[in-house]
Amino acid sequence: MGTVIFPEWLNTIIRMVIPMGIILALAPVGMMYLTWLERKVIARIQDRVGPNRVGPYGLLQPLADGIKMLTKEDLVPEGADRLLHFLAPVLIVVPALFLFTLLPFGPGWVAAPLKTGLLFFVSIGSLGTLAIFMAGWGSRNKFSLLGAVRTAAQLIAYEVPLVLGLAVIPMITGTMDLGDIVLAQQGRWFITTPWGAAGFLILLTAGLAEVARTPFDLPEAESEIVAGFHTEYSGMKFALFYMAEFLSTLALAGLLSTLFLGGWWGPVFPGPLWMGLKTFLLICVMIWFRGTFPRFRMDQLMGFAWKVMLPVSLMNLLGAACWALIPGIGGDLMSLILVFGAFLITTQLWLAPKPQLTKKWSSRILEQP
Amino acid sequence: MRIYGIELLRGLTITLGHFVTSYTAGLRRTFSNRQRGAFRQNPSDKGVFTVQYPEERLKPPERFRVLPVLIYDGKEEEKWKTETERCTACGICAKVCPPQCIWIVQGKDASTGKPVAKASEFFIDVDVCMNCGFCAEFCPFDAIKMDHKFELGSGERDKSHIFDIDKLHVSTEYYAQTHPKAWGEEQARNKAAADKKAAAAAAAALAAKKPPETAP
Repeated sequence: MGTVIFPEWLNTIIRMVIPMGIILALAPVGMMYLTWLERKVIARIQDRVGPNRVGPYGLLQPLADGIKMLTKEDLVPEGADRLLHFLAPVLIVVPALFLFTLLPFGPGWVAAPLKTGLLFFVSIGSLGTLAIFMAGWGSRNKFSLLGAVRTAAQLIAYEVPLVLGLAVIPMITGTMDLGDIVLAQQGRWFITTPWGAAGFLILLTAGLAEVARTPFDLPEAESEIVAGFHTEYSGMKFALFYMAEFLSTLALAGLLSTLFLGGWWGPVFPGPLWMGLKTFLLICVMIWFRGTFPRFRMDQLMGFAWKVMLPVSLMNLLGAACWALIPGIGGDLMSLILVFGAFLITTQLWLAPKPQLTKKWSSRILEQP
Repeated sequence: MRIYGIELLRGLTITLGHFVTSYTAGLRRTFSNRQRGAFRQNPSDKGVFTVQYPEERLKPPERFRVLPVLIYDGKEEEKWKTETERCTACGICAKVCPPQCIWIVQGKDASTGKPVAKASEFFIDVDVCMNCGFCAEFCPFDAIKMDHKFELGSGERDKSHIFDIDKLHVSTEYYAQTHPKAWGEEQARNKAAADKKAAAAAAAALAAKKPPETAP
């Protein structure tokens, strides 16, 4: 009897499967409490209390929601494409979960250490649109289809500034490995550089549009098209759409903190805690945005993407190149001037002017006969 | 020339302010001796506006009206009796009631069997009553008034939602608490009527006394 040789490929698989299992187990829990956090924060912004009935501070609310979702009737509309209608919610969660395997939570704490992690992130991240379109098409509902078409349009528009904003990072660091990018930020987080700050803002904006969160939540604008692409979904399928949305938000926050906020670097505390803290802060900022900003109009959304975001992100790319070539304050200034100049010029040229009101609305209402 | 984005930041500060004051105002409210659940929906009020209903309650305004009740003269702990009952079974309330939800049975004297001016049975169908308050307005004896108890939910509607005379009776003490202003007005009205009556009686007595003196 020969000796049993532990095969090399099994080693690799085990090293990837265990972290993936942890991610699979933790991501839904994180998503559940994200809904709780979002509801609480938005309630406080609106001078309300938010969920506080189930458990202390409403902490068991996500569980109650989950039970409710599980016990709801699963409806498939008449005339719907049953296969697409069924597949869409399944397919939308998978890429959202994939994103977490790429994020480095600490030195070497990454499920899938890919050399082309950044590229993989972008490509997988935009796969969700396919699922959304499947949902919209398969539902046989005009609101669903409208939502899906809006998603596709929005994604095409914002993918461009998103990728251009991301392109700065491999340009400076010379790598697409997310772990190596974090390592490159040991001395100086990228957000402290002018191109990094601009890139962070570009990526935050484009990323919000990518995951269809306020103020870019046109695909599921409830005041316009019922619930957009998930109008015809109920029960657990609806919950999966919700989960995918929150997971992509979480992944986006993780990506932003990896690329610009120095990932796991930070004083005193261990790396994963810093990574978590930065992600959490970004999530809070996104919830804050949601509590503050109204939704874009479709033409404003498109105009903003093509007329402002695209030139600004291109100029940011140029600025980063200048920054890399010219050492010292000159590069900083050059980069800053290019980005800010592009922003000023494009917004002055193309953004819709503020409507001119001669008087306050209240006095105008009073004047009416 | 307008720099875009600044107004966005200003908007963010507003929501942040609301977020923070919702906590600080709540803390201040916890440590102040202001009544819990007091009305806090004035435009100048800061912080969370929510009234946590089953635990906190807003005092309903006096003229808030839900369901008529019968009034008897006495304290809350005493049960109503035929002597203290104000209702005379005249049936005006039942006549004016638009949805016809009042049913009255006139009382009979126990010994003689003759009808007396008291109600022995009085029913109101809670599900039919539309809370218009006509009965209270038309009652000449101030015997039926609108109440404030609005929590009337129940699991079935055939028995528990038909209120009988025992359930409908509340004391004047209770009524004075829930409707202080109306109660004060009623007292003043009764007093004025009594004064007028006394004055008329005195005048009549005087008139009756005088003629023998002046007649001759």
